[in-house]
Amino acid sequence: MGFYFYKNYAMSNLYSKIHRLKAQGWTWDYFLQQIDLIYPAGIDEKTLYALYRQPHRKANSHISKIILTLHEQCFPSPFPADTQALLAIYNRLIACKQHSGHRQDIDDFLLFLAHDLHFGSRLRRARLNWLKADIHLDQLPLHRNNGQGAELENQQQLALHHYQNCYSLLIEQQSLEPSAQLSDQAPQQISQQVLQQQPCLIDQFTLYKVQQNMLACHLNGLHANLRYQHPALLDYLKNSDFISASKRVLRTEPYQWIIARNGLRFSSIMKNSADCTVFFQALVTANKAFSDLDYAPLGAPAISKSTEFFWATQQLAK
Amino acid sequence: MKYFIILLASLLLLSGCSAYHDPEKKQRETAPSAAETPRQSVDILQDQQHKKPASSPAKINRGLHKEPIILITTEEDDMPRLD
Repeated sequence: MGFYFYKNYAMSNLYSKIHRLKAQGWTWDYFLQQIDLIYPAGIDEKTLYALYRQPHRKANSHISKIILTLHEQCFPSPFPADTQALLAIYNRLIACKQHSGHRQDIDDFLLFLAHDLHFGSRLRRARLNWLKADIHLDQLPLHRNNGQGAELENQQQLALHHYQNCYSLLIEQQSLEPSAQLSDQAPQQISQQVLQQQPCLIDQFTLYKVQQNMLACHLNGLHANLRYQHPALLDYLKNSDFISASKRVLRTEPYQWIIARNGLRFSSIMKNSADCTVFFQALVTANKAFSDLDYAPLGAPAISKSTEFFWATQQLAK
Repeated sequence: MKYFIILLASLLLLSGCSAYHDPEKKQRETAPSAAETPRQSVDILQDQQHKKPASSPAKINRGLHKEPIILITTEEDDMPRLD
């Protein structure tokens, strides 16, 4: 079983977004009032409760849009608007399959970024490095499937290089923020006053996303049937901070079931019994429905149905 | 009676001649019926859509040597990036 559920997650993990909004200390009445401000007709409160309680619940596009808008208002991106716009343009470009000039546009994008990522604020440079790394990461499946080993490795190294640059810049930024010491705290524990003083808080989840993308550079360079036994991947998992980063996010955002599930998956691959227990408990904390290994949340197969979890399920049964 | 038959024959002959030279009737006869016109137009349009111009050997050769269009291809198993 693969990673197709991440696509759903990447698009809109509504369960986590609703939990993050609620975790600000909002009552349900206040939550519904905030929704009314965006969409005066509101949404049915039972639907909202169900989305909050059930990770398998799917929302329609209208409700998704309302929640995403509200989330964006309450948790705006820490990155400058121009870099966000550039990322949005790139995402729209690659989503348009009818566009015949992809290659040229991507080359032009890279040319622009190669020059522009040296200028501006630390956050701006971080985001442009992130975008350039994304472009290289997106090329991996093509070179892998065409058997273009040299170009695959080149793109992989470029992606890793730029994600690493981005990560270093974000760590620098985080250390300079007055609220850096608060980054291990849950968002709801940080007062509004502090957030207003320092709206560009680089949180653990932002750092985790860069780390997951670096892991994707290693994973997506390999064919699916080779991934989980490949020494390069096992080496990366052993030496990287990915598992620790997952635990840090779960401390601040315990409802992030997908991060807990990833942690369990990679702990299972690494055959680390203690981490398997930690991440399984985190999954159940995120939602008690996960205590049933046959439970299938939205867009993901049940743990019992996925071979990568096989070692973990054996350990949990002991 | 004889004059009456001649008169009738002359009238018939005259009306036949005028009808033969009637330009409106001529147009009606040569033009397709109202029901046929759109059908033929649609048929022509459909024919144009279905009939692809035959590729010349030079064109086919160029196609063979053309670089593949590069799209972002992902497998179901690929880990999507997070932004």
